[in-house]
Amino acid sequence: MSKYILGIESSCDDTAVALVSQDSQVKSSVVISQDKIHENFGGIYPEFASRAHVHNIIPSINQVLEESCVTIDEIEAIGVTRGPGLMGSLLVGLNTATALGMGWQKQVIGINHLRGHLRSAELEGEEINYPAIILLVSGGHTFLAFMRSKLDIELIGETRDDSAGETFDKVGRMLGLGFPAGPIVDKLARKGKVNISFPRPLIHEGLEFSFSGLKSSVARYLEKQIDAEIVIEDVAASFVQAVMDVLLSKCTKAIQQYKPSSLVIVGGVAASSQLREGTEKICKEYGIKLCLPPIKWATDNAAMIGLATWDYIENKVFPIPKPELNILLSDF
Amino acid sequence: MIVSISTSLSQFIVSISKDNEILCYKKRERIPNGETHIDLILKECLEELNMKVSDISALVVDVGPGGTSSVRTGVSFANGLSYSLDCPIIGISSVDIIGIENYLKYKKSICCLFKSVKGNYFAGFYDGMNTKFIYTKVEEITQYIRSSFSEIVLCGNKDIIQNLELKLADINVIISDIYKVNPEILATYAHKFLDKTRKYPNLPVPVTETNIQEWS
Repeated sequence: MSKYILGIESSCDDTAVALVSQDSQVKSSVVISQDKIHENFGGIYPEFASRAHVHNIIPSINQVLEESCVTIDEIEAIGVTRGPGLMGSLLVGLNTATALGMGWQKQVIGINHLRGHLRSAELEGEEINYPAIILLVSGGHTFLAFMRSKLDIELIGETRDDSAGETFDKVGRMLGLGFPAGPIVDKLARKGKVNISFPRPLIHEGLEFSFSGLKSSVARYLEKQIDAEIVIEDVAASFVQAVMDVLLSKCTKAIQQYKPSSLVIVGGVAASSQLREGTEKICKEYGIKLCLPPIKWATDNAAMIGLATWDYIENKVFPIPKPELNILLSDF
Repeated sequence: MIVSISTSLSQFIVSISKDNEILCYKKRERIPNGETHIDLILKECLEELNMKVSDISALVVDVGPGGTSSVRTGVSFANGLSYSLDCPIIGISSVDIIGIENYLKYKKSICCLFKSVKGNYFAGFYDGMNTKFIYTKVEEITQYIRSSFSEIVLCGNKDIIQNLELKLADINVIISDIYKVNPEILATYAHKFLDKTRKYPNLPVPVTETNIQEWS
Protein backbone atom coordinates (compact mmCIF):
# COMPACT_ATOMS: atom_id res chain seq x y z
CA MET A 1 0.00 0.00 0.00
CA SER A 2 1.37 3.44 -0.95
CA LYS A 3 1.77 5.88 1.86
CA TYR A 4 1.22 9.62 1.69
CA ILE A 5 1.89 12.69 3.78
CA LEU A 6 -0.98 15.09 4.23
CA GLY A 7 0.75 18.47 3.91
CA ILE A 8 -0.96 21.60 5.28
CA GLU A 9 0.28 25.14 4.60
CA SER A 10 -1.34 28.27 6.05
CA SER A 11 1.63 30.48 6.89
CA CYS A 12 0.56 33.56 4.95
CA ASP A 13 -2.37 34.23 2.62
CA ASP A 14 -2.90 30.96 0.76
CA THR A 15 -4.65 27.95 2.25
CA ALA A 16 -3.01 24.85 0.81
CA VAL A 17 -3.41 21.11 1.34
CA ALA A 18 -1.74 18.25 -0.57
CA LEU A 19 -1.01 14.54 -0.48
CA VAL A 20 2.56 13.59 -1.41
CA SER A 21 4.19 10.17 -1.66
CA GLN A 22 7.75 9.42 -0.55
CA ASP A 23 8.95 9.38 -4.18
CA SER A 24 7.76 13.03 -4.48
CA GLN A 25 4.63 12.31 -6.51
CA VAL A 26 1.78 14.73 -5.78
CA LYS A 27 -1.42 12.72 -5.55
CA SER A 28 -3.60 15.81 -5.08
CA SER A 29 -3.04 19.47 -4.29
CA VAL A 30 -5.37 22.36 -3.52
CA VAL A 31 -4.38 26.01 -3.09
CA ILE A 32 -7.06 28.57 -2.23
CA SER A 33 -5.80 32.06 -2.99
CA GLN A 34 -6.90 35.08 -0.96
CA ASP A 35 -5.81 37.70 -3.50
CA LYS A 36 -9.38 38.98 -3.88
CA ILE A 37 -9.63 39.63 -0.15
CA HIS A 38 -6.39 41.57 0.10
CA GLU A 39 -6.37 43.51 -3.17
CA ASN A 40 -8.22 46.51 -1.68
CA PHE A 41 -5.60 46.87 1.05
CA GLY A 42 -2.58 46.86 -1.26
CA GLY A 43 -1.02 44.09 0.81
CA ILE A 44 -1.87 41.19 3.07
CA TYR A 45 -4.26 42.05 5.91
CA PRO A 46 -3.31 39.50 8.60
CA GLU A 47 -6.69 39.37 10.36
CA PHE A 48 -8.57 38.67 7.15
CA ALA A 49 -5.95 36.14 6.08
CA SER A 50 -6.42 34.18 9.30
CA ARG A 51 -10.22 34.36 9.07
CA ALA A 52 -10.21 33.11 5.49
CA HIS A 53 -7.98 30.19 6.51
CA VAL A 54 -10.63 29.12 9.05
CA HIS A 55 -13.23 29.16 6.29
CA ASN A 56 -11.11 27.37 3.70
CA ILE A 57 -9.03 24.78 5.49
CA ILE A 58 -11.55 21.95 6.10
CA PRO A 59 -13.08 22.22 2.60
CA SER A 60 -9.53 22.07 1.17
CA ILE A 61 -8.67 18.94 3.19
CA ASN A 62 -11.97 17.40 2.16
CA GLN A 63 -11.37 18.19 -1.51
CA VAL A 64 -7.85 16.70 -1.50
CA LEU A 65 -9.07 13.46 0.11
CA GLU A 66 -12.08 13.15 -2.19
CA GLU A 67 -10.14 13.90 -5.38
CA SER A 68 -7.33 11.47 -4.57
CA CYS A 69 -9.50 8.66 -3.13
CA VAL A 70 -6.70 8.17 -0.58
CA THR A 71 -7.98 6.56 2.62
CA ILE A 72 -6.99 7.63 6.13
CA ASP A 73 -5.05 4.35 6.51
CA GLU A 74 -2.82 5.41 3.62
CA ILE A 75 -1.76 8.61 5.41
CA GLU A 76 1.64 8.09 7.06
CA ALA A 77 1.68 11.40 8.95
CA ILE A 78 0.51 15.01 8.78
CA GLY A 79 3.07 17.75 8.05
CA VAL A 80 2.01 21.30 8.84
CA THR A 81 3.91 24.58 8.50
CA ARG A 82 4.98 25.84 11.94
CA GLY A 83 6.83 28.96 10.74
CA PRO A 84 7.99 31.45 9.68
CA GLY A 85 4.73 33.20 8.90
CA LEU A 86 1.86 35.23 10.33
CA MET A 87 0.89 34.07 13.82
CA GLY A 88 -2.89 34.13 13.22
CA SER A 89 -2.55 32.22 9.96
CA LEU A 90 -0.14 29.62 11.34
CA LEU A 91 -2.42 28.92 14.32
CA VAL A 92 -5.29 27.88 12.04
CA GLY A 93 -3.22 25.28 10.17
CA LEU A 94 -1.47 24.04 13.30
CA ASN A 95 -4.63 23.60 15.37
CA THR A 96 -6.54 21.97 12.53
CA ALA A 97 -3.65 19.56 11.89
CA THR A 98 -3.34 18.75 15.61
CA ALA A 99 -7.04 17.90 15.78
CA LEU A 100 -6.87 15.76 12.64
CA GLY A 101 -3.90 13.92 14.14
CA MET A 102 -5.85 13.28 17.34
CA GLY A 103 -8.95 12.11 15.51
CA TRP A 104 -7.14 9.89 12.98
CA GLN A 105 -4.38 8.78 15.40
CA LYS A 106 -1.65 10.12 13.11
CA GLN A 107 1.63 11.81 13.97
CA VAL A 108 1.62 15.57 13.36
CA ILE A 109 4.98 17.18 12.51
CA GLY A 110 5.65 20.94 12.56
CA ILE A 111 7.54 21.80 9.36
CA ASN A 112 9.88 24.69 8.59
CA HIS A 113 8.25 26.54 5.68
CA LEU A 114 11.68 27.47 4.25
CA ARG A 115 12.72 23.81 4.02
CA GLY A 116 9.51 23.22 2.12
CA HIS A 117 10.42 25.88 -0.44
CA LEU A 118 13.89 24.42 -0.89
CA ARG A 119 12.42 20.99 -1.63
CA SER A 120 9.81 22.30 -4.09
CA ALA A 121 12.18 21.87 -7.06
CA GLU A 122 12.20 18.09 -6.55
CA LEU A 123 8.43 17.54 -6.63
CA GLU A 124 6.98 15.13 -9.18
CA GLY A 125 10.19 13.24 -9.87
CA GLU A 126 12.42 16.23 -10.70
CA GLU A 127 15.97 15.88 -9.45
CA ILE A 128 18.53 18.39 -8.26
CA ASN A 129 22.22 17.60 -8.80
CA TYR A 130 23.87 18.18 -5.42
CA PRO A 131 25.67 20.24 -4.27
CA ALA A 132 23.35 23.04 -5.33
CA ILE A 133 22.95 26.77 -4.92
CA ILE A 134 19.35 27.71 -4.20
CA LEU A 135 17.93 31.19 -4.66
CA LEU A 136 14.60 31.64 -2.86
CA VAL A 137 12.89 34.80 -4.06
CA SER A 138 9.33 35.30 -2.85
CA GLY A 139 7.08 37.89 -1.23
CA GLY A 140 8.26 36.84 2.22
CA HIS A 141 11.89 35.81 1.68
CA THR A 142 14.99 36.43 -0.40
CA PHE A 143 18.07 34.37 0.30
CA LEU A 144 20.79 32.18 -1.16
CA ALA A 145 21.51 28.77 0.32
CA PHE A 146 24.12 26.11 -0.34
CA MET A 147 22.68 22.60 -0.23
CA ARG A 148 25.27 19.81 0.04
CA SER A 149 22.38 17.35 0.13
CA LYS A 150 18.63 17.62 0.66
CA LEU A 151 19.22 17.60 4.44
CA ASP A 152 22.46 19.59 4.70
CA ILE A 153 21.59 23.24 4.09
CA GLU A 154 23.66 26.34 4.77
CA LEU A 155 22.39 29.92 4.49
CA ILE A 156 24.98 31.93 2.55
CA GLY A 157 23.23 35.27 2.03
CA GLU A 158 19.88 36.85 2.81
CA THR A 159 18.14 40.19 2.55
CA ARG A 160 18.86 42.77 5.22
CA ASP A 161 15.42 44.38 4.80
CA ASP A 162 12.65 43.79 2.24
CA SER A 163 12.27 40.69 0.11
CA ALA A 164 12.44 40.96 -3.69
CA GLY A 165 8.80 39.86 -4.09
CA GLU A 166 7.60 42.43 -1.57
CA THR A 167 9.53 45.13 -3.48
CA PHE A 168 7.85 44.06 -6.74
CA ASP A 169 4.42 44.30 -5.07
CA LYS A 170 5.15 47.68 -3.46
CA VAL A 171 6.49 49.22 -6.65
CA GLY A 172 3.41 47.85 -8.41
CA ARG A 173 1.23 49.55 -5.82
CA MET A 174 3.09 52.86 -6.38
CA LEU A 175 2.30 52.47 -10.08
CA GLY A 176 -1.38 51.85 -9.27
CA LEU A 177 -1.36 48.24 -10.39
CA GLY A 178 -3.29 46.77 -7.41
CA PHE A 179 -2.29 43.70 -5.40
CA PRO A 180 -0.49 41.41 -5.97
CA ALA A 181 1.24 43.51 -8.62
CA GLY A 182 4.50 41.57 -9.00
CA PRO A 183 3.45 39.55 -12.08
CA ILE A 184 2.02 42.69 -13.76
CA VAL A 185 5.23 44.67 -13.10
CA ASP A 186 7.20 41.81 -14.67
CA LYS A 187 4.89 41.76 -17.72
CA LEU A 188 4.97 45.56 -18.19
CA ALA A 189 8.75 45.56 -17.88
CA ARG A 190 9.04 43.56 -21.10
CA LYS A 191 7.32 46.39 -23.02
CA GLY A 192 9.35 49.25 -21.54
CA LYS A 193 12.82 50.74 -21.96
CA VAL A 194 15.52 50.64 -19.32
CA ASN A 195 16.08 54.41 -19.28
CA ILE A 196 15.90 55.34 -15.56
CA SER A 197 18.94 54.89 -13.39
CA PHE A 198 17.81 53.06 -10.22
CA PRO A 199 20.41 51.83 -7.70
CA ARG A 200 21.62 48.22 -7.48
CA PRO A 201 21.99 47.91 -3.67
CA LEU A 202 24.91 45.83 -2.30
CA ILE A 203 25.70 44.55 -5.80
CA HIS A 204 29.45 44.52 -5.11
CA GLU A 205 29.23 43.34 -1.49
CA GLY A 206 29.15 39.64 -0.62
CA LEU A 207 26.03 37.54 -1.02
CA GLU A 208 23.60 39.66 0.99
CA PHE A 209 20.67 41.57 -0.49
CA SER A 210 18.91 44.84 0.28
CA PHE A 211 15.87 46.14 -1.59
CA SER A 212 14.40 48.90 0.59
CA GLY A 213 16.70 51.57 -0.93
CA LEU A 214 15.65 50.58 -4.43
CA LYS A 215 11.98 50.78 -3.43
CA SER A 216 12.53 54.28 -1.96
CA SER A 217 14.39 55.32 -5.08
CA VAL A 218 11.39 54.36 -7.27
CA ALA A 219 9.09 56.27 -4.87
CA ARG A 220 11.30 59.39 -5.03
CA TYR A 221 11.46 59.20 -8.83
CA LEU A 222 7.65 59.03 -9.06
CA GLU A 223 7.23 61.93 -6.58
CA LYS A 224 9.46 64.15 -8.72
CA GLN A 225 7.47 63.57 -11.93
CA ILE A 226 4.72 66.04 -10.96
CA ASP A 227 4.15 67.58 -14.38
CA ALA A 228 5.95 65.04 -16.52
CA GLU A 229 4.13 62.08 -17.98
CA ILE A 230 5.17 58.82 -16.33
CA VAL A 231 5.74 55.92 -18.70
CA ILE A 232 4.81 53.03 -16.41
CA GLU A 233 6.42 50.47 -18.72
CA ASP A 234 9.77 52.29 -18.56
CA VAL A 235 9.64 52.58 -14.76
CA ALA A 236 8.80 48.86 -14.54
CA ALA A 237 11.57 47.91 -17.01
CA SER A 238 14.20 50.00 -15.21
CA PHE A 239 13.13 48.68 -11.80
CA VAL A 240 13.04 45.02 -12.89
CA GLN A 241 16.45 45.40 -14.53
CA ALA A 242 17.89 46.74 -11.26
CA VAL A 243 16.44 43.78 -9.30
CA MET A 244 17.62 41.27 -11.91
CA ASP A 245 21.15 42.72 -11.99
CA VAL A 246 21.38 42.23 -8.22
CA LEU A 247 19.87 38.71 -8.17
CA LEU A 248 21.92 37.47 -11.13
CA SER A 249 25.18 38.97 -9.90
CA LYS A 250 24.71 37.29 -6.49
CA CYS A 251 23.92 33.94 -8.16
CA THR A 252 27.09 34.25 -10.26
CA LYS A 253 29.17 35.07 -7.18
CA ALA A 254 27.72 32.11 -5.27
CA ILE A 255 28.44 29.74 -8.18
CA GLN A 256 32.05 31.00 -8.41
CA GLN A 257 32.52 30.61 -4.66
CA TYR A 258 30.79 27.27 -4.00
CA LYS A 259 31.18 25.49 -7.38
CA PRO A 260 27.77 23.72 -7.31
CA SER A 261 26.42 21.19 -9.80
CA SER A 262 23.11 22.99 -10.14
CA LEU A 263 21.37 26.31 -9.57
CA VAL A 264 17.81 26.14 -8.25
CA ILE A 265 15.39 29.07 -8.32
CA VAL A 266 12.27 28.85 -6.13
CA GLY A 267 9.66 31.27 -4.75
CA GLY A 268 7.05 33.43 -6.46
CA VAL A 269 9.60 35.65 -8.27
CA ALA A 270 10.89 32.48 -10.00
CA ALA A 271 7.93 33.05 -12.32
CA SER A 272 9.67 36.16 -13.70
CA SER A 273 10.60 35.61 -17.33
CA GLN A 274 13.63 37.92 -16.96
CA LEU A 275 14.94 35.87 -14.04
CA ARG A 276 14.40 32.61 -15.94
CA GLU A 277 16.26 33.90 -19.00
CA GLY A 278 19.09 35.41 -16.94
CA THR A 279 19.71 32.30 -14.85
CA GLU A 280 19.61 30.12 -17.97
CA LYS A 281 22.49 32.16 -19.42
CA ILE A 282 24.53 31.89 -16.22
CA CYS A 283 24.06 28.13 -15.99
CA LYS A 284 25.09 27.68 -19.62
CA GLU A 285 28.21 29.75 -19.01
CA TYR A 286 29.24 27.68 -15.96
CA GLY A 287 28.03 24.34 -17.34
CA ILE A 288 25.70 23.53 -14.47
CA LYS A 289 22.10 22.33 -14.36
CA LEU A 290 19.31 24.91 -13.91
CA CYS A 291 16.34 23.66 -11.89
CA LEU A 292 13.21 25.75 -12.18
CA PRO A 293 10.11 24.18 -10.63
CA PRO A 294 6.79 24.74 -12.40
CA ILE A 295 5.14 28.00 -11.28
CA LYS A 296 2.53 26.09 -9.25
CA TRP A 297 5.27 24.70 -7.00
CA ALA A 298 7.30 27.94 -6.94
CA THR A 299 4.73 29.84 -4.88
CA ASP A 300 3.34 28.75 -1.48
CA ASN A 301 1.82 25.27 -1.69
CA ALA A 302 1.35 22.25 0.55
CA ALA A 303 3.02 19.68 -1.72
CA MET A 304 6.43 21.12 -0.81
CA ILE A 305 5.49 20.85 2.90
CA GLY A 306 4.47 17.24 2.30
CA LEU A 307 7.78 16.41 0.59
CA ALA A 308 9.78 18.13 3.34
CA THR A 309 7.84 16.08 5.92
CA TRP A 310 9.31 12.88 4.42
CA ASP A 311 12.80 14.35 5.13
CA TYR A 312 11.85 14.86 8.77
CA ILE A 313 10.64 11.26 9.05
CA GLU A 314 13.82 9.99 7.34
CA ASN A 315 15.95 12.04 9.71
CA LYS A 316 13.79 11.08 12.73
CA VAL A 317 13.16 14.71 13.67
CA PHE A 318 9.65 15.42 14.89
CA PRO A 319 9.11 19.06 15.96
CA ILE A 320 5.78 19.57 17.71
CA PRO A 321 3.13 21.53 15.80
CA LYS A 322 3.60 24.81 17.66
CA PRO A 323 4.06 28.22 15.97
CA GLU A 324 7.65 29.40 15.61
CA LEU A 325 8.01 32.80 13.98
CA ASN A 326 11.79 33.17 14.00
CA ILE A 327 12.77 29.79 12.66
CA LEU A 328 16.12 29.59 10.84
CA LEU A 329 16.76 27.99 7.48
CA SER A 330 19.14 25.45 9.03
CA ASP A 331 16.53 24.42 11.63
CA PHE A 332 14.45 21.34 11.06
CA MET B 1 -19.94 12.08 25.05
CA ILE B 2 -20.06 15.79 24.21
CA VAL B 3 -16.87 17.86 24.27
CA SER B 4 -17.28 21.61 24.65
CA ILE B 5 -14.42 23.99 23.89
CA SER B 6 -14.09 27.66 24.70
CA THR B 7 -10.94 29.69 23.99
CA SER B 8 -12.38 33.10 23.29
CA LEU B 9 -11.94 35.08 26.53
CA SER B 10 -8.40 34.76 27.91
CA GLN B 11 -9.04 31.24 29.18
CA PHE B 12 -8.91 27.85 27.49
CA ILE B 13 -11.72 25.53 28.59
CA VAL B 14 -12.57 21.94 27.79
CA SER B 15 -15.63 20.41 29.39
CA ILE B 16 -17.03 16.94 28.87
CA SER B 17 -20.60 15.88 29.48
CA LYS B 18 -22.78 12.85 28.83
CA ASP B 19 -26.54 12.39 29.21
CA ASN B 20 -26.89 15.82 30.86
CA GLU B 21 -24.19 14.98 33.42
CA ILE B 22 -20.88 16.89 33.69
CA LEU B 23 -18.08 14.32 33.61
CA CYS B 24 -15.07 16.62 33.74
CA TYR B 25 -13.87 20.12 32.97
CA LYS B 26 -10.54 21.90 32.92
CA LYS B 27 -9.70 25.56 32.63
CA ARG B 28 -6.31 27.23 31.95
CA GLU B 29 -5.45 30.89 31.69
CA ARG B 30 -4.36 31.57 28.12
CA ILE B 31 -0.69 32.30 27.56
CA PRO B 32 -0.02 34.51 24.52
CA ASN B 33 1.86 33.29 21.42
CA GLY B 34 0.14 29.95 21.09
CA GLU B 35 1.80 28.41 24.14
CA THR B 36 -1.46 27.08 25.57
CA HIS B 37 -2.35 23.85 23.84
CA ILE B 38 -6.04 23.06 23.75
CA ASP B 39 -5.21 19.50 22.61
CA LEU B 40 -3.23 18.84 25.79
CA ILE B 41 -6.13 20.04 27.95
CA LEU B 42 -8.49 17.70 26.08
CA LYS B 43 -6.00 14.80 26.47
CA GLU B 44 -5.83 15.44 30.22
CA CYS B 45 -9.62 15.31 30.47
CA LEU B 46 -9.82 12.09 28.45
CA GLU B 47 -7.08 10.44 30.50
CA GLU B 48 -8.82 11.42 33.73
CA LEU B 49 -12.04 9.82 32.46
CA ASN B 50 -10.19 6.86 30.97
CA MET B 51 -11.85 7.60 27.63
CA LYS B 52 -10.63 7.75 24.03
CA VAL B 53 -10.94 10.47 21.40
CA SER B 54 -13.20 8.15 19.43
CA ASP B 55 -15.71 8.27 22.32
CA ILE B 56 -16.52 11.87 21.36
CA SER B 57 -19.96 11.93 19.76
CA ALA B 58 -20.45 15.69 19.33
CA LEU B 59 -18.68 19.00 19.79
CA VAL B 60 -19.69 22.45 20.97
CA VAL B 61 -17.33 25.35 20.32
CA ASP B 62 -17.39 28.96 21.47
CA VAL B 63 -17.12 31.17 18.36
CA GLY B 64 -16.72 34.46 20.23
CA PRO B 65 -16.87 37.42 20.44
CA GLY B 66 -13.42 37.28 21.95
CA GLY B 67 -9.73 37.58 21.11
CA THR B 68 -9.27 36.98 17.38
CA SER B 69 -6.39 34.50 17.49
CA SER B 70 -7.73 32.69 20.52
CA VAL B 71 -11.20 32.25 19.01
CA ARG B 72 -9.63 30.82 15.85
CA THR B 73 -7.47 28.45 17.90
CA GLY B 74 -10.55 26.83 19.45
CA VAL B 75 -12.65 26.89 16.29
CA SER B 76 -9.87 25.41 14.09
CA PHE B 77 -9.19 22.68 16.61
CA ALA B 78 -12.87 21.82 17.08
CA ASN B 79 -13.54 21.79 13.33
CA GLY B 80 -10.53 19.53 12.71
CA LEU B 81 -11.75 17.16 15.41
CA SER B 82 -15.29 17.20 14.05
CA TYR B 83 -14.02 16.43 10.54
CA SER B 84 -11.66 13.65 11.57
CA LEU B 85 -14.18 11.97 13.88
CA ASP B 86 -17.07 12.65 11.51
CA CYS B 87 -19.18 13.92 14.37
CA PRO B 88 -21.52 16.93 14.56
CA ILE B 89 -20.37 20.30 15.83
CA ILE B 90 -22.17 23.47 16.77
CA GLY B 91 -20.73 26.94 17.19
CA ILE B 92 -22.21 29.03 19.98
CA SER B 93 -21.59 32.58 21.08
CA SER B 94 -19.66 33.44 24.22
CA VAL B 95 -22.51 35.88 24.92
CA ASP B 96 -24.94 32.92 25.01
CA ILE B 97 -22.87 31.16 27.66
CA ILE B 98 -22.26 34.28 29.77
CA GLY B 99 -25.88 35.38 29.22
CA ILE B 100 -27.27 32.06 30.47
CA GLU B 101 -25.32 32.27 33.72
CA ASN B 102 -26.36 35.86 34.30
CA TYR B 103 -29.97 35.07 33.41
CA LEU B 104 -30.06 32.18 35.87
CA LYS B 105 -28.94 34.60 38.58
CA TYR B 106 -30.95 37.74 37.71
CA LYS B 107 -33.86 36.58 35.45
CA LYS B 108 -33.57 39.86 33.54
CA SER B 109 -32.31 40.98 30.13
CA ILE B 110 -28.54 40.83 29.90
CA CYS B 111 -26.09 43.00 27.97
CA CYS B 112 -22.50 41.75 27.57
CA LEU B 113 -20.09 44.43 26.40
CA PHE B 114 -16.72 43.77 24.81
CA LYS B 115 -14.28 46.34 23.54
CA SER B 116 -13.46 46.02 19.86
CA VAL B 117 -11.32 48.11 17.49
CA LYS B 118 -11.56 51.73 16.29
CA GLY B 119 -13.67 52.85 19.28
CA ASN B 120 -16.37 50.26 18.60
CA TYR B 121 -17.91 47.81 21.03
CA PHE B 122 -19.60 44.47 20.74
CA ALA B 123 -22.85 44.44 22.70
CA GLY B 124 -24.53 41.07 22.99
CA PHE B 125 -28.07 41.02 24.38
CA TYR B 126 -29.51 37.87 25.91
CA ASP B 127 -33.03 37.49 27.27
CA GLY B 128 -33.22 33.80 28.16
CA MET B 129 -34.18 32.81 24.62
CA ASN B 130 -32.58 34.95 21.97
CA THR B 131 -29.24 36.60 21.43
CA LYS B 132 -28.88 39.83 19.54
CA PHE B 133 -25.66 41.60 18.58
CA ILE B 134 -24.87 45.25 18.05
CA TYR B 135 -21.44 46.36 16.88
CA THR B 136 -21.10 50.12 17.08
CA LYS B 137 -20.01 53.14 19.17
CA VAL B 138 -20.93 53.26 22.85
CA GLU B 139 -23.32 56.21 22.28
CA GLU B 140 -25.48 54.16 19.93
CA ILE B 141 -25.46 51.19 22.30
CA THR B 142 -26.63 53.54 25.09
CA GLN B 143 -29.41 54.80 22.83
CA TYR B 144 -30.50 51.27 21.96
CA ILE B 145 -30.64 50.17 25.62
CA ARG B 146 -32.62 53.28 26.61
CA SER B 147 -35.20 52.75 23.91
CA SER B 148 -35.56 49.00 24.42
CA PHE B 149 -35.24 48.26 28.14
CA SER B 150 -36.47 49.62 31.46
CA GLU B 151 -34.09 47.34 33.33
CA ILE B 152 -30.85 45.67 32.25
CA VAL B 153 -27.98 43.63 33.67
CA LEU B 154 -24.60 44.80 32.37
CA CYS B 155 -21.52 42.58 32.21
CA GLY B 156 -18.25 42.53 30.28
CA ASN B 157 -15.22 44.83 30.34
CA LYS B 158 -15.45 46.59 33.72
CA ASP B 159 -14.39 50.12 32.74
CA ILE B 160 -16.83 50.18 29.82
CA ILE B 161 -19.85 49.02 31.79
CA GLN B 162 -19.14 51.51 34.58
CA ASN B 163 -18.98 54.27 31.99
CA LEU B 164 -22.21 53.02 30.40
CA GLU B 165 -23.97 52.84 33.77
CA LEU B 166 -23.47 56.61 34.21
CA LYS B 167 -25.19 57.24 30.88
CA LEU B 168 -28.17 55.04 31.78
CA ALA B 169 -29.32 56.94 34.86
CA ASP B 170 -32.95 56.83 33.72
CA ILE B 171 -33.26 53.02 33.70
CA ASN B 172 -32.60 50.36 36.32
CA VAL B 173 -29.08 49.01 35.82
CA ILE B 174 -27.55 46.03 37.60
CA ILE B 175 -23.80 45.48 37.29
CA SER B 176 -22.83 41.82 37.17
CA ASP B 177 -19.39 40.39 37.83
CA ILE B 178 -20.09 37.32 35.66
CA TYR B 179 -18.28 38.16 32.42
CA LYS B 180 -16.31 35.05 31.53
CA VAL B 181 -17.34 31.68 30.16
CA ASN B 182 -18.15 29.25 32.96
CA PRO B 183 -17.11 25.66 32.09
CA GLU B 184 -19.97 24.22 34.14
CA ILE B 185 -22.55 26.22 32.18
CA LEU B 186 -20.83 25.20 28.95
CA ALA B 187 -21.05 21.51 29.87
CA THR B 188 -24.56 21.69 31.31
CA TYR B 189 -26.04 23.38 28.26
CA ALA B 190 -23.97 21.55 25.61
CA HIS B 191 -26.73 19.09 24.71
CA LYS B 192 -29.24 21.94 24.36
CA PHE B 193 -26.94 23.83 22.01
CA LEU B 194 -26.53 20.65 19.98
CA ASP B 195 -30.25 20.54 19.22
CA LYS B 196 -29.44 23.15 16.60
CA THR B 197 -26.58 21.09 15.10
CA ARG B 198 -25.35 21.42 11.58
CA LYS B 199 -22.13 19.87 10.36
CA TYR B 200 -19.07 22.17 10.31
CA PRO B 201 -21.16 25.31 10.91
CA ASN B 202 -18.33 27.77 10.74
CA LEU B 203 -16.70 26.49 7.67
CA PRO B 204 -17.60 25.72 4.17
CA VAL B 205 -18.57 29.25 3.28
CA PRO B 206 -16.45 30.05 0.24
CA VAL B 207 -14.65 33.36 0.46
CA THR B 208 -16.48 35.60 -1.97
CA GLU B 209 -16.73 39.31 -2.54
CA THR B 210 -20.08 39.43 -0.73
CA ASN B 211 -18.78 38.33 2.64
CA ILE B 212 -15.73 40.58 2.46
CA GLN B 213 -18.05 43.55 2.95
CA GLU B 214 -19.47 42.00 6.06
CA TRP B 215 -15.98 41.57 7.50
CA SER B 216 -14.81 45.08 6.95
